[in-house]
Amino acid sequence: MEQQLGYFLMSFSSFKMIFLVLAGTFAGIYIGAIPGLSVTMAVSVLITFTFAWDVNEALCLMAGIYCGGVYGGSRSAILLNIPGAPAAVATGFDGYPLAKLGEAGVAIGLSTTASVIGGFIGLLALATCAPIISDYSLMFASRDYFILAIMGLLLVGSLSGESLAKGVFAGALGVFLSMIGMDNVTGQGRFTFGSIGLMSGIHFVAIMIGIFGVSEALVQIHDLHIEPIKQNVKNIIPSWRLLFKHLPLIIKSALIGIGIGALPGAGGDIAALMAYGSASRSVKHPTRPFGQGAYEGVIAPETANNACIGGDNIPMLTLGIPGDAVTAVIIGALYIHGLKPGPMLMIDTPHLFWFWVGALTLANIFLLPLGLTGIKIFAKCVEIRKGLLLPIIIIISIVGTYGINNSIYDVYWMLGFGAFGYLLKMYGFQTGPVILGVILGPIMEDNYRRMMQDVQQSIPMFFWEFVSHPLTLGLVVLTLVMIGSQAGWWDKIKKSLSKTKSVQTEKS
Amino acid sequence: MENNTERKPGERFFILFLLALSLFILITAWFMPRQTYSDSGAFPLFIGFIMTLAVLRIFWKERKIFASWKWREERPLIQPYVFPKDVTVYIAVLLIYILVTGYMGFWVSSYIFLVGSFLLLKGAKPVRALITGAVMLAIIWLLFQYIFRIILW
Repeated sequence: MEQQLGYFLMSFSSFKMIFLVLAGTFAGIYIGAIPGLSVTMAVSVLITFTFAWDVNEALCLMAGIYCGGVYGGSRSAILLNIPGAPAAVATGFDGYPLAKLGEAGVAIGLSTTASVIGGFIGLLALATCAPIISDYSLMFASRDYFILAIMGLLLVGSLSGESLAKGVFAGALGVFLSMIGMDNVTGQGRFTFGSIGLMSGIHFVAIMIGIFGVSEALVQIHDLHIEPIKQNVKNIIPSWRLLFKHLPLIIKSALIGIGIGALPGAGGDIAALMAYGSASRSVKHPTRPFGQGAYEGVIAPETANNACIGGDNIPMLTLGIPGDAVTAVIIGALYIHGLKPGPMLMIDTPHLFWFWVGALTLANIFLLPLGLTGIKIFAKCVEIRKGLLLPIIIIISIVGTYGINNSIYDVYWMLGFGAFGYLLKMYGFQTGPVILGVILGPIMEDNYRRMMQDVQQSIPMFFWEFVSHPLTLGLVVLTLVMIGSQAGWWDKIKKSLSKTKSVQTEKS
Repeated sequence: MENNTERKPGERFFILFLLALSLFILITAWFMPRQTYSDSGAFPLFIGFIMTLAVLRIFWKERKIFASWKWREERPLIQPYVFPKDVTVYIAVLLIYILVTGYMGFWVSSYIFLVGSFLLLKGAKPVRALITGAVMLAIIWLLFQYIFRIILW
């Protein structure tokens, strides 16, 4: 226990690390707040820069950007009704009406404190649940990992997009991209078309930066003509009375955030929307009707999306399965720094687990003073012209990609994926599942192959594996229920069931 | 969930392109070794199949929207929707920048690219663009040389 506490406090003990977390959180808040700059984009670009860094220092910076970025999205949602990040979509439902009522300061204050409390509850869940799940995960077999990877891919596709089929396509596309290059088992080239250069595959960082950075910059060019809105903010710090009054809602929303985050593939955006939905149903006497500036409509999603950070990290660190697009990028960063998130992480490198939790905690602490101050500077940053911002994003993306292998070919790939990602976005495809596919693809394929070898290439035995083990069966049922509840046919079944029931009642 | 009824010019052609891509992946995977179910071609075949099915599903789901388009009506809307002037010009500038970087070197070409982009995207007026471009490159140089330790070409 003492040893774990020592690892946990490591980031608190060095001035350099404290500074890196502080700088990361500060940068994260502003990156998250500026519409068009996402935390996923920031972390993916950052990975390339921290190649040569010490692991601990790189993790400190990433923890700060991660925490700050998830929170930062709420500011532009409140002030401009433009969520800086998908996780802040729900915050704008009541945050922007509050700003229009002249209560932007209260909304920002509430969102900051709710985010910090939610973040702490999420991290507490991570610190207590992850070691238990990690012990249990050693019992996970290939079939369980296979199902978890499919669950992650299908969930992110079905929950976060406008169409399940588009989400599934994007996820499968990511899996396809992960297969380009030499097959690790047989040594044969796949989709290389005789090119030696393609044998090592396409670096996933080039795909990430292209899909998230360049494509987003190109999409933002469409909105160049939109003039930034000038804001006036004051009365930031919320009263204790207000906070205590909403404490039950904060705890409930945090639990929703942790639960959603712990599911592979479901991230802060879904957690925030579900917490908002739950609050709108359960809060009987909101300060104002939901959608018209209810404080509860800001508190619930903001608590949930920051609590989701702890939840997201549970499957990422214990199973090696990313919780959402950001954790998919962070998994990539951990691999680059020689770490292997999964069941063995807690056994081989427990210090890194506790160090990471410590760095996230420190970032969460910094969130409070940074969130409650500098609003005026923030308002100026949000007002930066996109025409000034976008070329800088492009140049940083190019430099970052070049830095991976000092290869111009990586830059070509990155730009190619940027253009392709742009088209995907323009036609309503989510790009998050593509990255999840790239990360989850090898996990899926390796475990599928292991399973096939275990069952001696027998297809009936392959399927029997999924129903003959209680844990696997549980995961299969959970996946089917979750996917089914999002599909149109589920509603049809429910409607037909309720019709049959009403007919039966009428008859009786 | 699948309630998208918005008509996006050119979407049906993009979906057709994705179908062609999925079929290409499927056919390429078909010719990979797959003597057993765990051979190197088995999983790519499965993924190619899923991609093809997903695209066909999109077609089926949005068939009415796609059918409602008339070529004459859609054609003039595609370019302004997907490739408006700003985006097209910027992509061209980006391509030129990448192609000339090898000849001009990173710093000169990046400076021209940054200043040109600020002016093109109306981010700054000429003097401010020249100064901002220089400041940005100085920051990049400092960061990469001393903090990130990455050698730029």
